[in-house]
Amino acid sequence: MKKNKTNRTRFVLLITTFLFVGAAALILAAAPTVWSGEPEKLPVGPRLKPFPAAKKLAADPEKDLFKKASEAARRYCVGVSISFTPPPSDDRELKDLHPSYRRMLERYRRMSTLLHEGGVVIGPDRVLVDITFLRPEDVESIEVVTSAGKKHTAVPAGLLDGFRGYVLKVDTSSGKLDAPRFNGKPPTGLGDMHAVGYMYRRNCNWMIQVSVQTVTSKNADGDTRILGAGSSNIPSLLLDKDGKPYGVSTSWFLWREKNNRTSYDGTDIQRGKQYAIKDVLGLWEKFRDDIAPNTLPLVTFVFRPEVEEDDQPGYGYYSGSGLLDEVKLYGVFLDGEGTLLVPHSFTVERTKLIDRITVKYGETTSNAHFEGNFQNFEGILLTVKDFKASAAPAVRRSVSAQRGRLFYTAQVSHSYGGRHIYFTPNRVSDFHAGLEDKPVPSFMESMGPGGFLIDPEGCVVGFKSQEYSSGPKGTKQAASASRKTGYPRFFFFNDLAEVFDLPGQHFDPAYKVLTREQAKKSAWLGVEYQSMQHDLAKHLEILDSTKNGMLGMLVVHIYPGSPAKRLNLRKGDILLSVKPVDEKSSYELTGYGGGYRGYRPSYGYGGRSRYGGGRMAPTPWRNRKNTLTELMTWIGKDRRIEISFLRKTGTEGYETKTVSLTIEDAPADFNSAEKYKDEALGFTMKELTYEARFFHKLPEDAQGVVVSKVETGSAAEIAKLRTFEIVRQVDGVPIRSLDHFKGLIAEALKDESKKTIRFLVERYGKTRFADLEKK
Amino acid sequence: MLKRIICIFLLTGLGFSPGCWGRVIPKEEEPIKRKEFGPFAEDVKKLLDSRFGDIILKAKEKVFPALVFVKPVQEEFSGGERRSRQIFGSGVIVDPAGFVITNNHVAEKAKRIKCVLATKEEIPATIIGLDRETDIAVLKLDLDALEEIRRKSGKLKKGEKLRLPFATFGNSSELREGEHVMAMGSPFGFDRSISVGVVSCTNRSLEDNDQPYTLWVQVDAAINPGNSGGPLVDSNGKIVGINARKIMFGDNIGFAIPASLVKPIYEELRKNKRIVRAWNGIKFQALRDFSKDISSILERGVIVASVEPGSPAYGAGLLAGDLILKLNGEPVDAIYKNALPGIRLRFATLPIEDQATLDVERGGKLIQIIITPIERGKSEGSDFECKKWKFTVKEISKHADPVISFYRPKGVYIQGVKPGGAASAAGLRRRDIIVKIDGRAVESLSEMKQVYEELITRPADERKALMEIQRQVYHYYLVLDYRKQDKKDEEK
Repeated sequence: MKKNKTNRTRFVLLITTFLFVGAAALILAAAPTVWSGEPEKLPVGPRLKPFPAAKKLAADPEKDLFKKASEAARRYCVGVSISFTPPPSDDRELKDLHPSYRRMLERYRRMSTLLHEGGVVIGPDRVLVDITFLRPEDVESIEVVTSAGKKHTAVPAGLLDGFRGYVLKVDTSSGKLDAPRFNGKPPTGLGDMHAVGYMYRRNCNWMIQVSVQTVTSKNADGDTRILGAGSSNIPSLLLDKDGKPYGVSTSWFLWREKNNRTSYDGTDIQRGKQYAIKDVLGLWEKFRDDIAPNTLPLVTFVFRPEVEEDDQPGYGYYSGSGLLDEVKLYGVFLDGEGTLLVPHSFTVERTKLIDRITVKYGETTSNAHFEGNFQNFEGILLTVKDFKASAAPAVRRSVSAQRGRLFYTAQVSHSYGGRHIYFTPNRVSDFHAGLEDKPVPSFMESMGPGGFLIDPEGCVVGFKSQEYSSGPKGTKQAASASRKTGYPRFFFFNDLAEVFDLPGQHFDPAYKVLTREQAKKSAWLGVEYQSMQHDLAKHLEILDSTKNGMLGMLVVHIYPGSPAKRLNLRKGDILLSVKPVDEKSSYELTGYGGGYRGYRPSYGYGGRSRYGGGRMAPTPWRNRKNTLTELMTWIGKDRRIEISFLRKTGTEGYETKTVSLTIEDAPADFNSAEKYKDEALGFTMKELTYEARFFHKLPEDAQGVVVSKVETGSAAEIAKLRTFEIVRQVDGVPIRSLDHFKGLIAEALKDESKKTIRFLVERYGKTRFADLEKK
Repeated sequence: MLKRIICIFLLTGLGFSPGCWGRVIPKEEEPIKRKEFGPFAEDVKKLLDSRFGDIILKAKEKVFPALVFVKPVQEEFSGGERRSRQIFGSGVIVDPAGFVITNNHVAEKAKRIKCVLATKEEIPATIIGLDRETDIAVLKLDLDALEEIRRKSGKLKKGEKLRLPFATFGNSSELREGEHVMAMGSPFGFDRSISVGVVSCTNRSLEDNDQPYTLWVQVDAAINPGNSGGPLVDSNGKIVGINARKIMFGDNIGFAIPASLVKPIYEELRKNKRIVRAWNGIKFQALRDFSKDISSILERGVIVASVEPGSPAYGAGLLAGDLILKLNGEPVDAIYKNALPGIRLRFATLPIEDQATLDVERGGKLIQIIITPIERGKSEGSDFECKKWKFTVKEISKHADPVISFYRPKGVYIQGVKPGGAASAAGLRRRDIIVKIDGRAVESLSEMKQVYEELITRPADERKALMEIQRQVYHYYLVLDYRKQDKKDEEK
């Protein structure tokens, strides 16, 4: 009896084991899907009988949701394969496409592969993919495949307002798509369950990924966060705790915050406005042809050369400064009265050299007046003279950044002799804290400088200014805060409403367009100095006051009649800093910083000009443009400043003192001196200025003219006239001034009896005669 | 038949050849008799008379034995330290007592000089006198040393007197362009070399501030470094010049100081050891200068180009632009550039502290100006080595350093900075004028020496000085740190 029982149990056990093993084998073999994070495999097909312990499993909400989510994913996620047309024979038409779109086309065309993207069904005939843009003529065919293996063809349809992605219109002749109803509810509480599913392509197969998470954080306003959810660049279906779809997202951080949402409600997507691709392209064409000419005019800035040809001393050779004489940029009209914004800034030095600004809008070209350069961002405001608008500019100044909303970026450039605009669909992706803690939008697609934001109706609503800052404020704060990091670059007009309402109050006063004469004026103190160096400071025992030898300008000469002379500054004084009386901080006077042995600046000026130097004519005497004069010029004429300096008192050492003065214009120096060019004789003379007089050790009342330039092969060159020499007499008559010199030359040329003009030339204290032959 | 023709042909060919060969050896040529032509008859006659062979015979025979290979060891300060170097030059014995003429730039600043005679005997020489303005130096051979050598070698027997070959001066004013001359010397150290050429120009003026009184003889005989001081000999075997200059990168363009200038300088130097000259502060300019298109219609006088401030001419009221017509009653004309050296010489040889009258034309009017020239003074400042500071200085001289003396008339300037020394680390540079050292003004070489001697004896941790220097017209302050003096220097 017992024997039989044990045999049967064994038999049953054997059968059960067999069945079990068989079932397991079936499961392993038949599962085409991959699961994330789950150590066990979910059965496919008919459900297995649950184990006694399995009752608990089945009631596990996570696994249950998982099942539901995976079902939903399989129903509503699709794979999209796009093939592109071969490249056109004439690739000129590609020129107007955005470079990144062009690059994508090239890549796929070159590799002759298909672009595979996961997508989400949002309507019976609509599929959403995360592609920025598709042009119908670039697409050969689109195939949409469901998880069940059913294939449909599709065509590019358009862009959605409010959600990033591209909509494809699916051909439903073989059957409609299974579209979700988005009747789910987004999670609201901590620990609420949530699932995400999407389709993607891997190793020539379509895969579905599903994951289950919980709400990991929530704040008092009810904003929730879920981490590690979907995938970027693939639209993911968002499912609530019951497995019902409620939305779509293309980010793997899911946020539902007031201003920051990476997930979108499906109902909003379904009902949201869709812009047909034909209309989008049509709008862009319209913008290019009709709107841009009157809204984004071409602005040409013409500059005077930094060193004019006649100012360049030497022997007849003029080497160009290398800087552009003309810069062409595109601006935007802010109103119908000719107020024009150019989202760009030049340096203060360059701005001074602006000679002329012309604006071409529509068919008209007029001159424009420089109003100012903004201090909050890189932008110049102009007013067009005699503005005659044929149409109001398509500008909307009341639009603000809204997350997710569709905009177009128009990148305007002047190339191939004309206006070129690249368009890209763009959206505000989120906001981050910017200057003064104000929220600043960041965009999904990057924009180059000089780009404009266009709304779907074709109106300009914002702009991007240039990348770098070169204005004085930047250099002023360079020591403390870097202007580049976190500094906003693109602006909606609305965000700058108060700036544009009262532009005059937001200009940076350092930027001025000056006439030729005004531009040459600079301020002066009237000293020649030597930069402080470490070992000198150490020897004089002033390391403390000069910050270890880094600060200080040692005065080595005081020019007569200068502010320094009037203030009784002396040779040996060490200037430390300059402070405008109405400002809190002072500007430290620093040279190259001294420091290491063996390096000595040749002139000991210290420091390069903050404004990029510019090319000064090389002269044997020291240039009047140095750090100190540049600083004073920048601070501005008529402003009151205090200079603090060290003075040696008896044998005790150095004492700090202060003097105050009002900044005044410097007298003419060699670079700004009046000049006279005689083409026939081949020389350019300049009036004798104070620093040249000092260099030649001439008394204050000595008069003459300085040779600035000698043309090769001219009478002046044959007479061996050399640059920087001083001409004291013409035909025995002492020269009183440049005008007097002009008169003497004119007289000498008229005098028929003389064949040559005799100059008395002085150099290093010695004079000689030079005869110039009249032609 | 054929054989014969060939034989005859060959024979006749051979027959011709000796005759052809005979042509190559030159025969004694008959003096060419020609008609007298034009105003240059004398020159042509002289040219044709002097034959190429003569120059070899007479010149070599008469002057070559008097040629001396001069080897001075010169001291120079330009590298930032006092250095000696051996240089080569040439000289010529002009007196049986052993006086040798060479160039000043060969013999100046020499620690010692050795001369090698034609007889290959090397004997020392001493400097008798130097004249920088004419680049002439007079040396004297140590004849006692020579006697000793000769007695030892048996060349000179007891009772015999030493006899030295010597050359004599010729008349350089009789030189004509195209005349053959011979230059002797030691180019690049190849002693006792001879080169031959013709006179290219008899009165060349070089725009040389260093040699204002020389009207050069330009020759195309090869003159190279080492020929300096050697004689230029004419076909009569007389010295017509002392070779001194060449143009770098030029071919066959050499210059010699004419004998007419060398002879009196030699006699003066021999007598007085130095030349005393007058200085007025006047710089002259010719009426016509083709290199500069200066051309006036005037035919008399010389233009005053420049009057140095503070000079006798300046004090006398002479102005640039004045036309000097007469000096002490004698007309002064410089129509062309090459008249200027002569005029300068006349002014330089005026008696010092004696009044000289100038007849001057100014603005159409004739005026008289009285100048009292002063002594010219040293042509070049003395050198000094600041050994522990690793730089060398030179006294500022208005003649040798016109530009530096313009910026600062009195004082010293740095003529060389040794790399890696205290001066170089401080940033001191060549041509920096020293104004003050640690507050003490330096206005002469003696003051510089004083300050230097004092400062180097300071205790080790105080060896830092504040230098105020002047570069052109601008002043600078630099710190000279000489604490790390070379230990070897301490011991010296």
